Amino acid sequence: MFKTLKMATVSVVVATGMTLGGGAAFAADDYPSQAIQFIVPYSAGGGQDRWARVIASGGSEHLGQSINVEVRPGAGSTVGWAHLLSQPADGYTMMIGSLSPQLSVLSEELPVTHDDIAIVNIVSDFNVILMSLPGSDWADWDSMVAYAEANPGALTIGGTVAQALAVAAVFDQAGLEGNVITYPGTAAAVTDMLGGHIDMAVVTPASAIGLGDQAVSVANLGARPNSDEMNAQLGGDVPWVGDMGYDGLPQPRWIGVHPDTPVEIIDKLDEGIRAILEAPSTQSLIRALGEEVIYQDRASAQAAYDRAGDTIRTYLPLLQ
Amino acid sequence: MVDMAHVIEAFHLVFAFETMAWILLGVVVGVGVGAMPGLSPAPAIALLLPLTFTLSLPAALGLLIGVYKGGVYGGAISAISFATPGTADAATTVFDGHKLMQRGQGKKALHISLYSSVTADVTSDIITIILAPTLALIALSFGPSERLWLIVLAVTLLGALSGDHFAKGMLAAAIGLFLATIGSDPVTMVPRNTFGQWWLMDGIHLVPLIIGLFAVATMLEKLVELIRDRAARSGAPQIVPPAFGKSGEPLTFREYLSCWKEMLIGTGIGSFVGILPGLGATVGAFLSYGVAKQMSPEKNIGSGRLEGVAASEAGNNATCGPTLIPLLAFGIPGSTIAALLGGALAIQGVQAGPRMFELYPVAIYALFIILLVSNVFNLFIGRFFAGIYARLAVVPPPLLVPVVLIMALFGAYAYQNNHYDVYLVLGFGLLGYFMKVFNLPVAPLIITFILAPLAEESLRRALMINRGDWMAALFTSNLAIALAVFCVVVTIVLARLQVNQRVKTLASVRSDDGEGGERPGPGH
Repeated sequence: MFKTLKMATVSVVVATGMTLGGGAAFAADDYPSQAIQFIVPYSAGGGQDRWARVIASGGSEHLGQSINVEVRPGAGSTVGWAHLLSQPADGYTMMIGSLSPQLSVLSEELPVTHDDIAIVNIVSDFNVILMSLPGSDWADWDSMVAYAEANPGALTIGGTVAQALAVAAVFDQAGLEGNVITYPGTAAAVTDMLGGHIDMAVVTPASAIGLGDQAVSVANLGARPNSDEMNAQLGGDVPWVGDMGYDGLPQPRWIGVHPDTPVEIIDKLDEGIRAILEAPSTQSLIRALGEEVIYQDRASAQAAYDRAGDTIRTYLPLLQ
Repeated sequence: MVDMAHVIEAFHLVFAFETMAWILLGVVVGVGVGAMPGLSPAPAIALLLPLTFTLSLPAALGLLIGVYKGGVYGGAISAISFATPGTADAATTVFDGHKLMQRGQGKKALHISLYSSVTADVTSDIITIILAPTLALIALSFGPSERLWLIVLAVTLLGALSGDHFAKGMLAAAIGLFLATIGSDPVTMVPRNTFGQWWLMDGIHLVPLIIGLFAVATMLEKLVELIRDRAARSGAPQIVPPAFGKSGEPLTFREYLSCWKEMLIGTGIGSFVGILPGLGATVGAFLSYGVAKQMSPEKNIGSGRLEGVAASEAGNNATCGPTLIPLLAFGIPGSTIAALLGGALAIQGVQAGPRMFELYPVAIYALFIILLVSNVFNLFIGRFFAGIYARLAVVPPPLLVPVVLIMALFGAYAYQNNHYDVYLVLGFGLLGYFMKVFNLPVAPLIITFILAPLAEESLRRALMINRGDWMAALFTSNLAIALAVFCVVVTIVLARLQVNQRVKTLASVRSDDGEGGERPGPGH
């Protein structure tokens, strides 16, 4: 009797599973069949927002569906992320992120955890640049190291938490001691550096290019060397910490969906976004914003996301 | 030096039909967005940014700058008409503007808000164009220590806003201070005073606070009045005044001129606040209003004076041009708006920064011309809107209360697409209502709410830079010392003025008493 019941249950479960699986496959077949919501978990006008809008502008042409940007800031990106999790796992809601949302969920007890996302791909990975005023005693890597060794903790270096983390990581590996000061935005840190209130600032490439010859690039603290084009815009070869034997900190801009989204759908979405990114019009818009497309597919993007999480866990305590 | 050929080319580009049409559209959208509580120019510009991908450079700049200027002015319209500031920077406009409206002088109030906005905007734009590099260098000398003293100075100058009753002013300020500490610690990012609510991690934003304290609180007050009235004369026939009634007298040129002092204060303070990163139009308006009130006690600003509206509106619009100075001089955006305009320029292939004059002279002259021209559009479109809104003065309360409440709650949600903001707005509405009942002034609450985090951040950063050495952190430069001394001097001067005034009032009270015969002595 029990056995029969058990058998029946199993068959029902299997049948349901097959139906669900079949349904998912069916959904993946004609995906995307409706507009996609694109959550920006930060205020309108920031870097994430601009990337999201550039990607969204290519939606109809390359993905076959329009992409609607939805700005949902709050609680260090958690409000937007929680909204993503409240939507069905059907690939019609995605979110753009960077190190900042990862920092938020790793530093606090929140209703969202670091694993509550399936990464679709990485659209860019910028290198943060350590800058100084020209003519200072730390205006190039070697003299900076010499100065920091002679005056431990004297160098004041400002940047946002995500960027300051790169300084903390590289200085820790190099055995240097610096006074890392976190700012709410790159602009505030750069202003304080230009005014001589702090010694150095760690900035995005776009800010570094914007500064022109008012400041010099001391080092690239990112995970890969600068492209030739980037170095040309920065006025010369910027030394990369990777060449000195240190691990730079990647600053990936990733796109994620609900963690329960079927892999077939994620792959289709990945493919569509890749087509948008490869379009010349997208490339030129991104370049105009002082950034570049550095694409990674689903598998390597998920691994990069997890690695970035590990790095944050290691170095965040140094900033607190 | 200035190459006239470039200037002429820029003029041709700006005065083309296409550019003009986009500026016009921008200002219309901006005034509309500004007048709607919860919606403000920055998100509107972010939303319109992709549209500019396909526009020419002058058209793109025209659209965005139009939205910006229209938006900063638009906040005043609903502030005056419904006591509901459309944007946070119009909060001080409510104090005098709405009282004028209730007195049937809404048209005058709307006009002075427009004219003082445009006057201060044009003047500060000219200052921006001529002095951008010099002013930018001055702004750079303000590091964390200097900024701290600047904020302390602002607080001393704003003492006049604490109302007649000192203790009530202090209580309101204390509430503001507490609300400002909710969120995350600015340095270590550790949450504090969030009561375990994760959604409070970013702290409380100014927009829901202002909507709650002004719009919802005022409407609750009106609602209570309505219920009382109805109870008092139940059954009696009610006269419903027409929704579109008399619009009141327009502003005379003499009245406009009589506000010169407040417009001057607003322009000066607004321009300075605009250059410094992170302060913005709201601080500009509050400081200008507070200083104007302080400098002319005889005018009794706050009791429904045109001068009060002029000071507030000049103070916020004067930040518009100068906020671009750090972007143009160093390539660093000092505000969200500047960052968005920098982005729009970048998409057009123009890198904002010190080399812009050299590399893209036509673009920069076009930007300057658009800054000025959009004011003219703002003037005409603002007048048109003011005419319509002035007629709304006599909307009967049974209609006004639900409409404004719905607008306020919708605005609270629209601000960040976040329902928590709606709860906050309702909570602050109740707080604001009880503050009205107990006669607590709102201004000190908002000022401490805005300034305390800035002061804390500056102090903490100054201490971090100086490795915990308080003396070095507070008095790091001659400028910091000078500002500190100035704060002390201002406090002493203001205190003496107040004491003198009290003595005078007391003396006049005594002499009044004297006429009635001698006071009974203790022996009687």
